[in-house]
Amino acid sequence: MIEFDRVAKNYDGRPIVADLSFTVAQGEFCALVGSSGSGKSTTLRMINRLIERDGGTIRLDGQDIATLPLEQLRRRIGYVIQSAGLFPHWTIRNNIATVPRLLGWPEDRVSKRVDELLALVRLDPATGAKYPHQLSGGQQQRVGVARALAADPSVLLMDEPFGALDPITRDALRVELRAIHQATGKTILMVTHDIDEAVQLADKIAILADGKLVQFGTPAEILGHPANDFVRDFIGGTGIGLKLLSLQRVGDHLRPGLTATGASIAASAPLTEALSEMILRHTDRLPVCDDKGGIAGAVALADLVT
Amino acid sequence: MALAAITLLFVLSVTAMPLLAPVFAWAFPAIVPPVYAGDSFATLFLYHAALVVTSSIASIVLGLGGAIFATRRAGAEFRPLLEALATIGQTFPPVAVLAIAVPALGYGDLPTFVALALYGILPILKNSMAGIAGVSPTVLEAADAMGLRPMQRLWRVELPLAAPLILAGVRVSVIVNIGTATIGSTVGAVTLGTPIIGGLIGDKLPYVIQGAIVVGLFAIVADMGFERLDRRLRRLAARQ
Repeated sequence: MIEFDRVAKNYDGRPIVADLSFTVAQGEFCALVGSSGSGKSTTLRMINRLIERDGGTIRLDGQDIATLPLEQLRRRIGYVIQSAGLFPHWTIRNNIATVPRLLGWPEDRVSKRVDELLALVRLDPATGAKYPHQLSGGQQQRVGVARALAADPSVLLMDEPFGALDPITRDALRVELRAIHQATGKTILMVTHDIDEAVQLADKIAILADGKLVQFGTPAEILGHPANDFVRDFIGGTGIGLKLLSLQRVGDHLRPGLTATGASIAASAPLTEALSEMILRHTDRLPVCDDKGGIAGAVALADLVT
Repeated sequence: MALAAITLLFVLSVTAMPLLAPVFAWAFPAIVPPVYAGDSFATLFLYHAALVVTSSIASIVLGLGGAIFATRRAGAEFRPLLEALATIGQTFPPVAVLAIAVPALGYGDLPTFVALALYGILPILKNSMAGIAGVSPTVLEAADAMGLRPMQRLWRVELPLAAPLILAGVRVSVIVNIGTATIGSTVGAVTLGTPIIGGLIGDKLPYVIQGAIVVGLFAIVADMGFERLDRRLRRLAARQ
């Protein structure tokens, strides 16, 4: 759990972050979004004290971070940055083992943990013996995530973790990050400027502008009830309806009795995918299959807007 | 292979120079004896090497220490000053440094040691500062965020990543010192420069040639050794 209580940061007398209060609950995935200069990265870095705040309190699992020794605090927090920031002179295994070794784990436990993590981020065990420069950007970022998770921290901080990757790799890693979040139950706070990424991944979204929190809520709340014109513009103006649609699953709007022709769509697919298929096929209904592949009913165009 | 051949040649030049006596006698019939007959070349080499090794260690300690200090937050404001000093210092000829050292320290090994050590600091200081400052800020941020203490960050991340550049500085420093140490003989230090200086004063060219051959081969062998060390280091530290 991460609590911000009236946190402030100034540079040269100019407020970068002002009166910031919000709480990321245990196990929650929170996205911190805003345009550049909104203070979102500063906010993130104040948690592991890469930047020291000028006012207010930040609590990690109920403990004021100011009361913890710096290195001890940092070893309890996983940190993932944009270009991975792997140590170029260490093998992948040694990179992942960084924090466990700092914590003095016995070597056999470290080795076992590294194996687990390579599997978790879906890297071939043979990758462990390689050096960072021998890996693609996407693989390096997987290692970055594994390294951050190594000592089993309760909190994971991510600063634009997919910003430097190509769209295909980015999408694949987003899907896997969701799976990792579900599997590990970590509290995650991720900085991004991409509202779509936030909507796709996060349980809660915090929107920052000029160092102030303008809105904090679930993706549905923010898309459905933007707090003001700034938020409305930021989350995409005319595209908001489609983003809201993407939050819902085909299964939520399934009509079991209804029949339709053509290829079926999975109940777990987002509704935007159903809409896209209908437009492509010039039809107003699609058959829906459940996760075992059997036809469960159909979804109709009229249901998408209700 | 080349290293082995040059090393063999060097060892021969140190141990077997008297065997070349007939050659020098034929080329310089007026010079007797034809081969320098003071201390043996092996003895001269040992004195020379001891001077180079000790002064180089002092240079490394001071140069690397200065670079580490200048790249810490507390020493950051001294970095431009140290960089300027290193650059200006290198425009001084080594003889000038020696000339300054003698009035302060008298004749013999000590002024030579001090002059070599001071002159040797400069390339190490400059390269080490460049190497340490050149470590990617992202990597440093990651090191801090992982919870490495400042000393751990220095030893495990900064110095290993800066190592190839630091080594390049040490290499220049040592090679220059091998050559410069010969001048120490003008102020009374016993080095491979002794036959050279003696030969120049006494107008005995073969002694100059003999001393120069040994010093030259010494420098080449040392340089090739560094070359090999550098290659090993780069293999060890696969860099981005």
